[in-house]
Amino acid sequence: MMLRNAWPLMALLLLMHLCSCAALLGIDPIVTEDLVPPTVDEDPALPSVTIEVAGRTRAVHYFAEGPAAAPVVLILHGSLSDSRSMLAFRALADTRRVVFWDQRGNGLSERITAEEFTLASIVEEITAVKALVSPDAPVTLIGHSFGAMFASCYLSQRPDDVERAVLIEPAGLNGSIMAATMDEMFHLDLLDTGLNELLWSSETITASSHATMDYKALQLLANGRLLRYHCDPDHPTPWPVWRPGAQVEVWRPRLLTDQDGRFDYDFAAGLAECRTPVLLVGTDCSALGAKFQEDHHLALFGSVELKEIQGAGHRVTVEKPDELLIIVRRFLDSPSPR
Amino acid sequence: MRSLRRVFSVLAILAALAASIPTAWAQLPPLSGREVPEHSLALRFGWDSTWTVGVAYTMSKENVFFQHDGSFDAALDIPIAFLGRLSDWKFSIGSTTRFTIDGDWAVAWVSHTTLIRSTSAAGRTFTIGSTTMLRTGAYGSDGAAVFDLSMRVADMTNIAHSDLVRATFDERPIGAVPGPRGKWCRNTSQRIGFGLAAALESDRDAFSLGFGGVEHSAESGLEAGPMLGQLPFHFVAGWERKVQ
Repeated sequence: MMLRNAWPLMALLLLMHLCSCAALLGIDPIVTEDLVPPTVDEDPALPSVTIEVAGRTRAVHYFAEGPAAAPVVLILHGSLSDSRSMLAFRALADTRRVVFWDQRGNGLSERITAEEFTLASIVEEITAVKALVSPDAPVTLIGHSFGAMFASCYLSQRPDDVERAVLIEPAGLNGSIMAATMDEMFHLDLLDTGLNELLWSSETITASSHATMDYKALQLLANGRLLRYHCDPDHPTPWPVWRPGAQVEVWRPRLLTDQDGRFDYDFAAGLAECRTPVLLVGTDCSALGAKFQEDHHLALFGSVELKEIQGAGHRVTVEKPDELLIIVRRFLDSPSPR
Repeated sequence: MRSLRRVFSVLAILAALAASIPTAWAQLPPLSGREVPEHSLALRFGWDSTWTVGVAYTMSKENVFFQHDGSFDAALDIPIAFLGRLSDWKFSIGSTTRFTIDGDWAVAWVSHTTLIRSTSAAGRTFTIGSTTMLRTGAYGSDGAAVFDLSMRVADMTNIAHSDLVRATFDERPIGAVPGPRGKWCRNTSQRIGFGLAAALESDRDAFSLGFGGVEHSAESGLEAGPMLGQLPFHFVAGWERKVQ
């Protein structure tokens, strides 16, 4: 009697479960190109070079513009980013050789293992790229955010290899600054729409592969509230990226912390005595803006100037590229002290 | 506005924790030794991937599967942050069968088919999935307390990309692989959970219900941070009442 009463529901349930099982029969699992572009090792059409870093030979997405014999500028993108976010600096190619590459594990460059992502390997990677394009002459570094921190780290360790450095809104350049200012950058609101979109998406796609992690990182980049970087957090400027290196991002804190999880690094060691010209650029909207750079970083450098760009946030390379280029050009064209 | 949100967050956490004598509401099998309410409605609230509210209907039957008690239920859960736009939701329909081990001790097998819609800056995903739970413990006349072992699988998911994702392909200077097409993919999410579920009779026709636990999702040797993965726990509390 009861079975008879329940049969329509049972039949419906059976049908729906069969539909679910049908997924196993003819539908493919997610592959990289369903979500994010393939990397240079997966798509040979992409321009690349190979470099040996941390004992491994890796292919990196690489392109250079400008006269081959001109002074070289190396462009360093930040975290969850790649060279696409730095394309404004192509404009410098009229007088300089501008070199873009997606750092290992990011963008269209080959993915790497955790063992290959160390502080030493970051310096080694910049050294390897420099050796390809300017083995003998010092280069100019232009870095944004984490790319600016890496540029500072490289300058600190290899000052003779750097002609000038442009550091656009680096976060804390040493552990004590980072520890003191972390809370100024992050804003966690568990009712925030963007964060909830990211979390709810785990119901349909979990971060179980590089591609799914990168796909979720794209969602993370669209959230304007998690980091205090924007003039209008509800409508953050879209951040152009080919593939955010999500796995590298998970490893990134290890570069900066000791075994107890305390920030323990110094990317500005010795720079107070260094005469290499440094340009710090900050905006008026970002938590890492001009005020932050003035308060925390200005005193770390021996030869430094600070410029502010108004009406922009941390994504200044796409928000105010023209203003940024004017400032950078003026700095690069000023007489060299060397 | 922000402080209101903060207050609401804190109140929500406290309410959910206070009520999380964990439970099983809509999936709760009929309690032994009492008249089984044939039709009941439940309201629920808690953290399951994110803050959600839900409503569930249950039709319970005695001796429905070869002398074992069981229930059929349907539920709709919506993330609180998206209540205004109704674009993201989870609809579940399923059954529960309880197999008595000894006295009040029993195992309940819960099987659900789920339809889930999710939207984000990356586009829209729609999943047909399944949830299987084994709830082993004591099912008394005034309540139940059980261990909850669950597996949730997104069996097949339709992915429709936004312009943001398409641009990651289209704006490459060179690249042989074309941009992503919207398509169905299988097994896009697998999660295994372990926790507690409980129900307490609050009056003759109503229960307070709740469950909570931890969850693990397969990462194939990767390391996903909580912001890229998910917060690895869930806790939900609710109230179920006989409607007939």
